[in-house]
Amino acid sequence: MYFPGCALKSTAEDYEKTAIAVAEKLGVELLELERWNCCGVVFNVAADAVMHHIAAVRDLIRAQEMGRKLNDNRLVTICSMCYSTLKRVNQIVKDDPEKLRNINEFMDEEEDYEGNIEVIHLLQVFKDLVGYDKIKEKVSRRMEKIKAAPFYGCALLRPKEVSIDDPEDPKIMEELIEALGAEAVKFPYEIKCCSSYNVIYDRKITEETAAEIQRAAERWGANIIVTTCPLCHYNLNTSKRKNGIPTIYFTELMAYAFGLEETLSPETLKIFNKILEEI
Amino acid sequence: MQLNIHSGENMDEKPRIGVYVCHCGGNISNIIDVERVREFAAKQKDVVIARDNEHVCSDAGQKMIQEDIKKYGLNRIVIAACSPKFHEPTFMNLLAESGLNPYMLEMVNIREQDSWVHSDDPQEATLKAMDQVAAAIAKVRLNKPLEEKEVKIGNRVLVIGGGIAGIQAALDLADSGCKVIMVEKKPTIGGRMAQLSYTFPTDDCSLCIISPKMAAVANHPNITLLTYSEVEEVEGHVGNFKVRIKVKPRYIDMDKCVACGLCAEKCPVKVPDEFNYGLRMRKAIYIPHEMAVPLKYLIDEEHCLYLNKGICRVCERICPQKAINFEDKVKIIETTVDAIIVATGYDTFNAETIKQYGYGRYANVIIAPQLERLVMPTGPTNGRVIRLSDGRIAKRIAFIQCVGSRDEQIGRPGCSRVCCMYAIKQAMILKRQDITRDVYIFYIDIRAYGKGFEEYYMRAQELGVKFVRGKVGEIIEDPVTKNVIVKAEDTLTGKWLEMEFDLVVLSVGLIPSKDTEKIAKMLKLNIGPDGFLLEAHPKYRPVDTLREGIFICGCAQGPKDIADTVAQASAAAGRTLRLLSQGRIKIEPIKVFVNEDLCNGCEICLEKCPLGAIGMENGKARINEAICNGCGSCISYCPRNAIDLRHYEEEQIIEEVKELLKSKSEDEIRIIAFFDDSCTYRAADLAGNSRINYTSKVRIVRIPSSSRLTPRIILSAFKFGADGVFIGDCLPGGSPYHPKVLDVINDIVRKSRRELRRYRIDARRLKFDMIAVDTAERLAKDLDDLASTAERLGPVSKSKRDKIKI
Repeated sequence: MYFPGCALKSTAEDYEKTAIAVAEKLGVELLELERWNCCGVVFNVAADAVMHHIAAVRDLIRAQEMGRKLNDNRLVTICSMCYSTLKRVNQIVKDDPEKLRNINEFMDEEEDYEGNIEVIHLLQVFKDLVGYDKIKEKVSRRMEKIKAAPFYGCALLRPKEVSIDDPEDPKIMEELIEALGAEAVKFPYEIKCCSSYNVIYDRKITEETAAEIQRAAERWGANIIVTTCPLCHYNLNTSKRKNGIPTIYFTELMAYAFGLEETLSPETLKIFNKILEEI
Repeated sequence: MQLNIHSGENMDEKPRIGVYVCHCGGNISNIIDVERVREFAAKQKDVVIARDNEHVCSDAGQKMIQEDIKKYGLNRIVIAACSPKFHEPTFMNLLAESGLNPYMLEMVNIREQDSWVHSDDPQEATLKAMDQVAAAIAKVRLNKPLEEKEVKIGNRVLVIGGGIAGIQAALDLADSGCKVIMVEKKPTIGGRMAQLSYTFPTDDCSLCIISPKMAAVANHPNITLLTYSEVEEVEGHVGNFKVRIKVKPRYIDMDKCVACGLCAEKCPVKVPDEFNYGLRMRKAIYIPHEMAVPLKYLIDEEHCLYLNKGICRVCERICPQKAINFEDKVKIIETTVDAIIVATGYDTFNAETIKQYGYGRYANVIIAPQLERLVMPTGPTNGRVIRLSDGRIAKRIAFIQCVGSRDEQIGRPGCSRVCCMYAIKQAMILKRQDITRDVYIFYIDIRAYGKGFEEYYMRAQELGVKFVRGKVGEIIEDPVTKNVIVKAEDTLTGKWLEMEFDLVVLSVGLIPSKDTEKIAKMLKLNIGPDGFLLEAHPKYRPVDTLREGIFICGCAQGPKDIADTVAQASAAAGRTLRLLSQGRIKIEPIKVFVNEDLCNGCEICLEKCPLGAIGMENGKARINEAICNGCGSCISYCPRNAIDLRHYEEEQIIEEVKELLKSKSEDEIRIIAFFDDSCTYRAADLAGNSRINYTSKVRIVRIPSSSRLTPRIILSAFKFGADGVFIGDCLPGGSPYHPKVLDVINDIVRKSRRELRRYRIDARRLKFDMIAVDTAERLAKDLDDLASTAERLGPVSKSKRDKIKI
């Protein structure tokens, strides 16, 4: 089962569409979590912020209910932010039975959360469950002209307790890009902050950050940036310089490599076509 | 070693006890009714004679006891007087001189722990004295003669490690006439210091000042030097350590090799040279460096063509001395030594683990030890400090401090003590080579704590080295120029910096050498939370270990600079000499022992002994008495109650407790207090000296360490009428025993409280506190608090007490 979250139902519809499509191509059935609600973003770091964890725990209860029917305890997230919030709250209530009891008692209209759900990210599904060798087999297009710089942002890697990879030197997307036959451009800004919600208060900050990241990706030789996060995607694309390097979701790159053009938006297709023309 | 502890006297002999009560010139008798105590004592079972005396410790007093022993055939003595900390040794000697075993003595402290702290209540003070005397009589009745085993000790010392620490210790000992065996793992001695360029804060050339000492080791008639060798096994104890040393094959006849170097010229195999951190290549047949001691070639087994593929043998043909011997094999040397010094040094932190600094990925990010080699005129670049990416001279250089130190993220919170100073030294060398160079040091704090260090730091500032206070967040490499870009916050200006450099030097910290754990296991030494070997006491026994006859020094014990290392090495040599010069040493007989009829071989005690003193023999636990120091940590974990501590056996303590509570009436309350001998007992003595009054409801039991208690002893106290039990023991670091005894005590307290609850006895009646020698007021308050808690809760009812099963 998977947790879509708000972004995938609004600004990042393409992300969800391609994610489901490429997963299906790889033999993974993503079932939307029934009756999901907001993950409760952003994760609240205050030690006693029990109230702020309720939304996430409610989602985990939904996963527990649905998981029981499916006989599967894995909840896949696609959006980085949802991953971070659900994973961290899950961790906290697993480590602190007292807190979990409080939350369970507060939500007496729900069944108790038992702490058995495992929150994973779609990238982990592809790497650990499917395997990059199998992904390699499904590639139907020559990709070597695509020089993709992975951009992780913050939520998948920090804090290190919930990181999906080495938080200072992640390789999970780099390896995926290589498995797709494209050139992975590892650049030092891959774990930089995209400026996040600063875009609401001061677009200038976001513009500067985006420019810095994009310039670096270009300098290191990339012609496209690949991300996992709807917010990074939004910030990098909406604050893009003229003729700046575009940012897409990793699932879009996969869909293109697998020949699933029908799932891509015309804009994304245009990006790929432009890259191929230029060379 | 088999210590024969029970011996000499006839165990079946009927106890004949003499009791002596001291007036202490009024110090005691002004408060306590000494006459009444004497009369009481005289009526106790097995007491043949009871006397009181103005000064029992005086010559006259001692003579009186001596005569009584003869006249009445006394075989056990109880003396009620001042603290045993004063005169226990005196009276033990007296017993020995009178033909009794010195352990047939019990002292009752009725001065510091009675008359001086209960001056407000002479009546109670007298009753307390009577109870304590009765308890001592009950205990002494069960005392067994113990023999202080003597071990002969010679003058042979094993020094493990041939760095500056080992060298200094070995030379000090050898000059004093000791026979030293030095074992060094590498093919040369000199250790890390031989790899350094210059030394702070004097700027002497490092190799120049260590090489005479290296030569002195090689030439000393009292030192046997074994290089390329490792200690494999150590058994036995102080005065008789059996040591097994493996000498690895060099494939060179050391007597024939004259280090002409022809072999290396012709050898076709090139490998990275460890001595130069891979900045230069060496051959498969090599000397570690030109000043190596011994200056003899060796063949690198791992890379030699002949040894791996059976071809080549060029060196064998070329050697004019015919020194090559491909038939060389591992040699094993077995010997015995009287003492051991561990000087196994450090490793530098592996900077590759801090990914954001790019060491190992970026050519122009190096570690400080590499720079030590680069700046040396004899080094791999003849002293030119270059960018490793293109060989150009580096003009802009940054140092990053605290790489692998003071970093909680990677679990190394400690300071490595030398990095600030070596970075300043290297920065000055770089500036002196070329004053136009830009040299930056990014630091958290500059710790210039040593003699002449601050002045050295100031000189660097005058030379134009720039200091930026800020931890570097990340380093990136420009893909084209290979320049390295350092990102940091300057915390003094609050500015975010992004600066480009030719070369970045990581000031890596010092970590325990990789064999530390192996060595600790082999020698049964303890490792501290930082991973370095643990000293017996951080202040008073900084080079001792908890194992007698084994000492530590240098960076094996923790990061330190050369001067501190040398001081510590000489200290270790001094402590070793102190031990060896005694000729014979006494082994304290108070150790745990196993009742083999009860032991079922479950091996739980093996893990619980913090010193690893327990092994198995014929399916039974067996105590290595040379290692056991009598903390008793194992006792309370034994499910069969098969372990006990000599002289403080469980039954003895229970008898004492029973006596201390015998006089109690149903409606009064009474507290039993267990004082550990090292801290709480002394603090109680201090309370006496300071005349701090505390509750007279307390009755005191002296034990070596509270880790020897058991829930059964504590429950007995309640069963026989205690309304509160106090346990005092040292703060961490205050105890002569292992720090883990505190965990043991906590376990005992927890288990006892659980039992108390089972019997519906309020667990607040059991109090444990850590007491330092100087915290008499805290101890007094603890006892008063517990007494008032017990008053409030009332006496434990007889029906509850009777239910307690022990």
